[in-house]
Amino acid sequence: MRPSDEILINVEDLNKVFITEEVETHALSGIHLKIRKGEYVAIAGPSGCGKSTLLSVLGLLDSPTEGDYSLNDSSVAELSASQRARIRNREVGFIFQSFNLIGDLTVYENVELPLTYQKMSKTERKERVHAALEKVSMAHRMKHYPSQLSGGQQQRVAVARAIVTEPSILLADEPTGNLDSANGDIVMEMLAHLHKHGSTICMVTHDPRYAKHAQRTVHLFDGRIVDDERKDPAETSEVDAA
Amino acid sequence: MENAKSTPVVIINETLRSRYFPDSSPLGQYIIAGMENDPPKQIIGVVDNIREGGLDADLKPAVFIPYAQMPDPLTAMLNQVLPKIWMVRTKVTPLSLQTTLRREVGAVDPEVAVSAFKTLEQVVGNSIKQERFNMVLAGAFAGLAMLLAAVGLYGVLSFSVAQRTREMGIRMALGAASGEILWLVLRQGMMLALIGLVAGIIATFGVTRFLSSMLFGITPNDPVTFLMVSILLTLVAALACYIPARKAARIDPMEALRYE
Repeated sequence: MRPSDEILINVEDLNKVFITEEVETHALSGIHLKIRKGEYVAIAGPSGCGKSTLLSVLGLLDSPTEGDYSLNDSSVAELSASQRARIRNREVGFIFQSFNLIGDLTVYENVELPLTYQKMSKTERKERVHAALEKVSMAHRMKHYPSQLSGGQQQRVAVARAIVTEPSILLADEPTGNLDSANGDIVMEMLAHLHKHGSTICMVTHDPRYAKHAQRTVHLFDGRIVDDERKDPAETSEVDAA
Repeated sequence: MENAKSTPVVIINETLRSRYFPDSSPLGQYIIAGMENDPPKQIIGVVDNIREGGLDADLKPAVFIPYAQMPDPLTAMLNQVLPKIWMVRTKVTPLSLQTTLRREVGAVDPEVAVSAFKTLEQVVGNSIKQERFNMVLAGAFAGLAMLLAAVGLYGVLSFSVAQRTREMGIRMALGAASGEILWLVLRQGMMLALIGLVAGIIATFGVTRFLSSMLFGITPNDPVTFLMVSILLTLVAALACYIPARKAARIDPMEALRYE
């Protein structure tokens, strides 16, 4: 899908410093990044370069030490914890490397969980959960528990949970990291399909095979953006990354 | 003023009246109090019951006879030998009357020694000393049991929160606000507490009959007592649950997601 002109994420001069026992670690330094609606961006780089930290900041799980961050034209860098939770719930869908499904809940309940925090009616929740599970071909397993599923199936359920709220952006942190290549390919195809149907995706990966699925790859090294590679110049000419 | 030669009279208590004169007024009627051969005495008044033998003693029919009209020589003699108890009603501080009372009694009979002044509160207090001790002891054990239950509940929930740290992180990542995490843990703890409370109430109905001999002025299954104790236990349980719940609500989602 061709990205729109609308900027979904705008990060300006973002820094993230971790301070532990008087040692300062600069995880992110001077990050400038714009992601447009409908764009599929891969964040690549070696282990420890700050990929996951950047994704956590973009997903409002962590706060930047310095810098501006706007999501959907609203500054979100200095919101309260409850405001951040509300935005995470409505605007962001997470897909984690280790699936992060809740073991005590069924597949249906796991996918339903983000909707319960929106105080949505039971009927609407049911429709949404069924639709999301159909999209990842897991509707037949909705009464199963995560422990009864394979890794690939669990990640498909996690994808359903991420898309059930129809978020503005999907943030995927090494979504194939715990999968074999066959299941990894299935998940990547699923993300490509979601992107084709309008989803904005930002995926962290260190595997060049999977980074190729994205329209654009942002390379990080030592907490800095060192390259911004656009796969198809014709499609990505409007993408603006500092 | 009644004396040995005037018409023998008595005042009866409420228990005697309700037992022997349930449907008619006893005033002006005659009863025999004392030996069989004693002359009948006219009832001139009815007074409330007195629990002379202690607050838990059964109420018995009683008559009050003027000192000057002792019904038989034996009773009159016993009254001479046994220590007499005088009751004085006053509006001033009772024990401030000691000197006055000694002087007044001495004026009537200088041979009589007046001692052991007590207020009515002291008399009542002494009569329920044992019950009070039992109550304090039972209360102390009950308080200890409640404390242990609260500590146990706190421990179970703290452990549960520690076990579910990653789950809390996932929930927060999916949009749960601190208040929702707090309520999640609080609800889990309160469910445990309510199950315990219901089981406790059922068990209590079974064992309270063993306590009935220690109770005064209250039934073993008094609903107000059950309600108040249930409310107290619920509040203590809520406090015990609140501490780990608040801890869970303050978890940093990033740290929780990294937690193994």
